[in-house]
This record gives sequence, structure tokens and C-alpha cells, in this order.
Amino acid sequence: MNTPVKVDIWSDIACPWCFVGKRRFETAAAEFATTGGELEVEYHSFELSPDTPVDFDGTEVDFLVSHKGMPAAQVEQMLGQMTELAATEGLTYDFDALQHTNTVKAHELLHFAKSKDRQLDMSERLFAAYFEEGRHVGRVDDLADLAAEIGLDRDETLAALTSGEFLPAVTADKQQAIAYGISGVPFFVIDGRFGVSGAQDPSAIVDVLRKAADER
Amino acid sequence: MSHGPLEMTGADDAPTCVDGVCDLPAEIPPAGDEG
Repeated sequence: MNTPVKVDIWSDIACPWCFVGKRRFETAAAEFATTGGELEVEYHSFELSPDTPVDFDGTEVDFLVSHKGMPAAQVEQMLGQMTELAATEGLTYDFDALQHTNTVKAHELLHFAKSKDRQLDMSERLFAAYFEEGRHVGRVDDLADLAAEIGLDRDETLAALTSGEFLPAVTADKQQAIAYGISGVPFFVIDGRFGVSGAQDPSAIVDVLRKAADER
Repeated sequence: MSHGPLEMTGADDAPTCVDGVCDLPAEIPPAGDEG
């Protein structure tokens, strides 16, 4: 078995389960590798809330209460539990510092990074910046800073984001998600054959990776 | 829910985010349930 198993992951930066699911997937990938398995991983764009303004004026609680109609007490309980759960995966979520924003430019950045073979590093940097560091991931200047932090050229990044060069790639990902019937994220597509929805336990991911490899 | 040509695997109830709202973590008991 020399051809890597292809894993296509639909996710949004503003998705707490997607960062948790990323960690669980990485655990599964490490287990798969111990038996000689090889993977090719690609992230795809999914916007959970495309109507969010870039400069949303408020907290995550404000957003969920005002835009989604959720009771404030329920939101605070949800975020508290999410923070505890994320900690079990080694993640330090900080919803008080989080700057809610539109993520379409962050998705364009992920496609730009893919063109430079740096998509996985960019994905990790964006998730950490958003959930752990209270960094803004909606403005092109802030995104160019984050790109530079992983070694991408800041000016080239800024030009790509400003021109919208990678917006068609974001749109294509969203259309493919619709074709697959994906309504929630994270969502994993294995070798274009198997679908796995949600932040699954690593064992479930390992099972489907082995199944995909064995059935070739 | 249809997933096009995909064969779905894994747990049916793994948590996701849909339309900006996310599932509650099932692994952590709600506050006040500790007894």
C-alpha cells in the first residue's frame, strides 16, 4: 500500500468542534501511521455563519443570543462545557477573548496556503489564533500577519486576499459540500467514498482509514 | 440526511456545529449534576 489514503475535511475556523475534531483526527492519523498507513489531508471551506459581519461588535455570547436567539444562560453553559471539553484535548479555549467575525477571508487564506503547500500549518495557526489567542481572523491585515507567522510572504498573502483570487476555490468547496449533503462540520470524506460526520473518537477514524486502505 | 454517494461510517451522534450553533459536549456533565 503505497498510495496515501485521501482525507478531505470540511470545517470552519469559527467551529469549536472542528478544532477538537482536528486533534482527534491527528490522534487517529498517528495511530494509523504506526501500522504503515499514509495519509494525504486537505481542508475544505464551510461557512457556518456567512452573514456575520467582519467587525462584529460583541462577544461570542452576544452573537449567539442576538443572531441565533439562544438564551444567554444556555449559551454561557454551552461555552463553559465546550471549554472544559477542549481542555481534555489539550486546547485552551478563551471565549472571553474570542473575536467573532466572518471567516470567508480565512478560508481564502487556507486556499492560498494550500497553493504554497502550507495548508495544514495555516489551519493550525488559524484555529489557535481564533480560539486560544483572541486574534482577529476576519481582516486581511490580521490574516496576513498570521500567514507571515508560519513563514508565508506577508505582502503576497495580502495581495491574494485583497484581490479575492482564492474566493472561487472557497465557493467550489461550499458547492461540493452541498453535493455531499454536508450540513454540519467537521465532516470527513475518506478516499471520496466514506463519510464521517462530527468530532468522532479517534478509534472510529482509525477504523474507516483502515477500511479504506484494505478495500483498495 | 443524504450524503450523496458517500457511505457513512462512525458514530451517528458525534458532535457538530450547524448554522452557527454547536452541539453540547456530551462527555462533560452539566453544572450542578455532580450531586
